[in-house]
Amino acid sequence: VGEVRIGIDVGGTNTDAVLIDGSGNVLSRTKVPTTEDPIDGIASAMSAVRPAGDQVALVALGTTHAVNAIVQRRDLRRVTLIRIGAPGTEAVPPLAGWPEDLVRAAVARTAVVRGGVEVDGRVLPIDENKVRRFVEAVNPDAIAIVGTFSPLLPDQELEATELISEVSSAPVTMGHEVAGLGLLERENAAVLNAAIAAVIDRVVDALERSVERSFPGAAVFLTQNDGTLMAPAVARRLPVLTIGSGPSNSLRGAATLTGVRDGLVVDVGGTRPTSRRSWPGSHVRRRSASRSVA
Amino acid sequence: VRLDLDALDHYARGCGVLGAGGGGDVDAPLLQAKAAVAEHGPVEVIDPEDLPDEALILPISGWGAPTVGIEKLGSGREGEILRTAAERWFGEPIVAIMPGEIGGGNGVQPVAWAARMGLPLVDADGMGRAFPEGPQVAMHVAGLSPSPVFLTDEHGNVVTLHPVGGDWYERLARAVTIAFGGSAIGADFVMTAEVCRTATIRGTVSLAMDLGTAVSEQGIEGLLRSSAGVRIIEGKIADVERRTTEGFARGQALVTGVGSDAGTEVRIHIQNEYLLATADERAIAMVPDLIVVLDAASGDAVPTELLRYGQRVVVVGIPSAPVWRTDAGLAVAGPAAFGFPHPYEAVEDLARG
Repeated sequence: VGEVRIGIDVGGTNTDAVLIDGSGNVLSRTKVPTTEDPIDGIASAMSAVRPAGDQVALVALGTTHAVNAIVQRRDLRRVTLIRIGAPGTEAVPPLAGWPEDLVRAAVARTAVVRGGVEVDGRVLPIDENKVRRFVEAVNPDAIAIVGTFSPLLPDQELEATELISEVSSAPVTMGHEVAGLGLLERENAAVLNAAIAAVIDRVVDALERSVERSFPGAAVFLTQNDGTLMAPAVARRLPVLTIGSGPSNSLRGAATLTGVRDGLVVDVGGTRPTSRRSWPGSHVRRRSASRSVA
Repeated sequence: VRLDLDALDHYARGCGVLGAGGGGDVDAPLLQAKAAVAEHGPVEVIDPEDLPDEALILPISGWGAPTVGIEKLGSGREGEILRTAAERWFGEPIVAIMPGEIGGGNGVQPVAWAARMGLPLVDADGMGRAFPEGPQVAMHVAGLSPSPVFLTDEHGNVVTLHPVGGDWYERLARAVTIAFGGSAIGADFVMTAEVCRTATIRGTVSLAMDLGTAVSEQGIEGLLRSSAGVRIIEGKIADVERRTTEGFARGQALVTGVGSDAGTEVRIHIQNEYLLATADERAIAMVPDLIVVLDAASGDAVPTELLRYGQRVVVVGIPSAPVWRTDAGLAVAGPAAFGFPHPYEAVEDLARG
C-alpha cells in the first residue's frame, strides 16, 4: 500500500479520472458523464478509480467549465467595469472588438474615470466621487477595476477596491492580478475573470467537498493555463488562469503517456476541438502575445 | 479609395508590414480607428493631385516608447487639438491629414483622427516605412523645415517648437515627450498640396492596403509578389538580445533556418526597427530597404518588441521608396547613418548574389 494521486478532468461532456502511483504509473481510469452539478460526476469518478486501501495524497482537477461558459455565453456573471484612465485612454472605449453577444452575456456597465498612473510613477488623482456614485447606481454583481500601468504600481486599483467595498459587497477583480502591461488585454482578462468566478466557484466547491468526504487530508489542486498546478484559493481568485488549461492538460498527458518528445496533440472534445504542438520536455511554452478566446 | 471598417483590417496589416518592426503597436490603434469610423463614418483617401495647390496638409505621427503606448491609448482628441493649433498659426484651414509615418500603429492612428474630424487622408507619408528618428522623412530630404512643430498629449497640453535643425528637433521633442509622460502626438512639416506632390512618398496609404490585402488573401507569397519583395529566410528565433539605450530599443535577433533553409543563420540588427540582416557577416538586406519579420503561420508582421525565442518566422526584404536610394536619401537613412560599415546595396541585388 503506497501513496497514490487522483487526476480528474471535468469537461463539458465527460468527467475523466485516473489513479496514478508515486512513479506516475496509471493504476486505473474511468470516464463518466459530467453532471449538472459537477459534484456528482466528480464523486462517482473518484470512487470508480480508487482501489481500496491506498492512501490518496493528492487530488488534482482540470476543468474547461470556465472557457466553455465564455464560448457558450452561459452561467456568466454580468460584470461592471471601471477603467481608471480618463482622459489618457479614452481613444479606445472599453470592450472594443468584443462580440456583441458576449458583451450582453458578461457585462453590465462600464465607466472610464479620471486617474491612472504614468510610466514614471506619477499618480493622477482618482475621481473618487464618480467611482462611488457609479457603483451605488449600478449595484453590481461583480466588478473589474483596471488602471493604467497598474502592473508597475497597483496603488490606485487597490485604493478603488477599498473605496468600492464601502458601498458594495460584489467581488472585485483587479487588473494587476490577472495580467501584465497592455491595458486592453489586461482589462479584457479582468472582465472575463470576474465573469467566470461563479462557474469556477461551483467546481472548486464540488471538488473540495468530495475530497473532504472521501479522502480527508488529501491535498487539492487545480490545473492552470501553463500546465502546472494551483491551490483552490488561487483558482477562486483568478479563475481566468484555468481558461487555457484544457489543451495544456491534453498536451502534457499525451506527452507523458506516449513518451513522444515532439509531436502533434489533437484534443477532440465534446465542446471545442483543439490541436497543440507538444515540445521537448512536455512542458507548455507560453505564447508571447495575447490571444483571443471568444 | 476609402477606409471603411472592412478595409481597416487589411490596411492595419499592411501598416504592420511597412513598419519593418517599428512604428508602434498596431492592435490598439486599429481598435481606435474602428471605433472612430463606426461613429463618424469612413475616411476618404485622396491623392495630392486632387487637392487645390494651396490646400494645407497636416502630417501627424506619434512619439514615444511602445510600452507607454500600450497603456496610454490617448484621448482620441489629439488630432483636433493639433489641427486647431496649426490653423491658429497659419490662419488657414487644414484640408487633409497625412500619416507622418505609414509603418506600424503610426499609419493607423491618423485614420481615427481623420474620421473624427471628417477630413480626408492624403495617399502619401513621410517614410514609406518606419524609421527610428524624426528627421528621417522624405520632407527633410527635400529640404523642407519641420517648423513649426506642434506636440500634444492626452491632457490637451500643446507645445510648439521652432527647432533650428534636425538634431535640435529630435532633442527638444524627446524632452517634451518625456515631460508629457512618455508619449506625444506631433504635427510637423505642415505643407501645401503642391509641395506634398514632390516632397513626400506618394501612394503609401494605398500600398499599405494592397500589401495587407495580399497577405490576407494569398499569404506571404502574395506579399512578396505585391511588394517586389525577397524571401530572406524561414526559421526560428534562436536568440534575442535587447537593451534600451538613449531612448531606443537596440539589439540583435538570430534566426536559424528550417526546412529548405536548414543550416543557414541570419542575424538581424535592431534599433526600434529591423535595420540590417547579415549571414556570415555578409549583408543580405539593409536600411533604407525594409526588413520585415512575419509570423510564419499568420503572415502578420512581428514588431521588434514582440520578438520571442522560439517563434517561427519568415523574414523578407522589400525595396524602399526610390527617394531613399538617392545619395541624399542614403545620407539620412542609409547604413552609414546608423553606424553600419556596409556600403548600401539594394536588397534585390543582394538576393541575386
